[in-house]
Amino acid sequence: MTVAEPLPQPGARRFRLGEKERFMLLLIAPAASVLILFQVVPILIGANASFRHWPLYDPSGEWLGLQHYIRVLGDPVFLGLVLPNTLLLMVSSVAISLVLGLALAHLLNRDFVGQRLVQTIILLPLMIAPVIAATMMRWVFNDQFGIVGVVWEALGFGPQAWLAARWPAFSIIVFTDVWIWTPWFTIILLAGLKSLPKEPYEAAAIDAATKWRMFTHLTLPMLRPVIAVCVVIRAIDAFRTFDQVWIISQGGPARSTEVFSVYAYVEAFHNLNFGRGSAAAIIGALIIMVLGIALYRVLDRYMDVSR
Amino acid sequence: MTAPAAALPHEQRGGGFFDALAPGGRRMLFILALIATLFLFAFPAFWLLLTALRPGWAVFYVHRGTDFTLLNFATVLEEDIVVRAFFNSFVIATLATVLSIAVTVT
Repeated sequence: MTVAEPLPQPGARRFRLGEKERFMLLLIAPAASVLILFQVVPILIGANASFRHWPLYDPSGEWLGLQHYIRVLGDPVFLGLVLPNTLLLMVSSVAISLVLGLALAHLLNRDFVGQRLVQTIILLPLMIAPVIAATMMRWVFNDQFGIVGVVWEALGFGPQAWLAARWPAFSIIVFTDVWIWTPWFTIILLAGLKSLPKEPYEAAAIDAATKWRMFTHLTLPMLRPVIAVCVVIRAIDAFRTFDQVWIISQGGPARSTEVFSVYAYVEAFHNLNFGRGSAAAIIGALIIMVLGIALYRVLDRYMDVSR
Repeated sequence: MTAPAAALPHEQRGGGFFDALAPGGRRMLFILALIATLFLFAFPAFWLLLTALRPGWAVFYVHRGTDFTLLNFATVLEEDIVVRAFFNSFVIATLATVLSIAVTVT
């Protein structure tokens, strides 16, 4: 019995540039080149600016090495205010919208009169542009003519400066983010819920399990892959939030609600220092990459669901 | 010999909060949750619509006053640049979606 080639070891990856592999590379070459041309090259061009002296008023372009990066990482505002704000926004927005999205998906999972209408209304926040939603929130929470202030005072409480202090403004930003993105979680989790098998639930009902135990012991474990994917995608996105923060508070009273995207924007387009802005953006991108890979690794374990 | 098909709530073994409610109570909780959710999600959008229907000077008193007008919509749609912006958004969204799917699927 002759064997043409040794069998591949399980777990070892053998990279051969044989005919089949070359054919596969040829097939993905167009898509890969489009990806590289439109995504990698612009990032590299932007990264080039971050190593040079490039303010708009004095674009000498001289090579500075890592000076911009050191300046940004050594900036006490960046380390003490911007990064904590961004991480706090990311964690709270993703956690709250995940919980709310799961609850809403359960609500929509059964058939009741007007379910389609409710589904459409719940999808409304996704259909409104984030800029418009943020502007709407800013007007609603205005302390002079905002409806929230009117209702608040009608209930008897004193007037509040909603957007003029750090934590109220930050809470409003988180609320807007949650308002916009909970429907996204809802649709995906609803699809996940509808794909779950019914047998475990019937078995649990026979064993007289309460609804809550059915939820924590059946639904949550079976939904783990979907939740993992949703959380990773949304967390990476939430780190880059710009619209809501900029429109609602421009970085807050005295930069107290500034997040990293606002920081990079202010450096690049208000201070007109493209070198530093680009360095800040690249640092943020590196942080997101590390965070995203870490999150994905941690949650990758949950992708294998034992049925 | 065979247990009745629907046991009374207090007879269920290990009943949780939701199971202990009478059937009407569970339905009530469901409807309340639904209404709260609808209100929270629809309110800013509804407020947006209401603000759009008020004339310019009444925008600071959206909740008071009785003037409603469609003039805002007409004014915006008359602007050539706005119509072009809509068209641009439509084209960009369609092309981006189609091209991304094409690149991913192939």
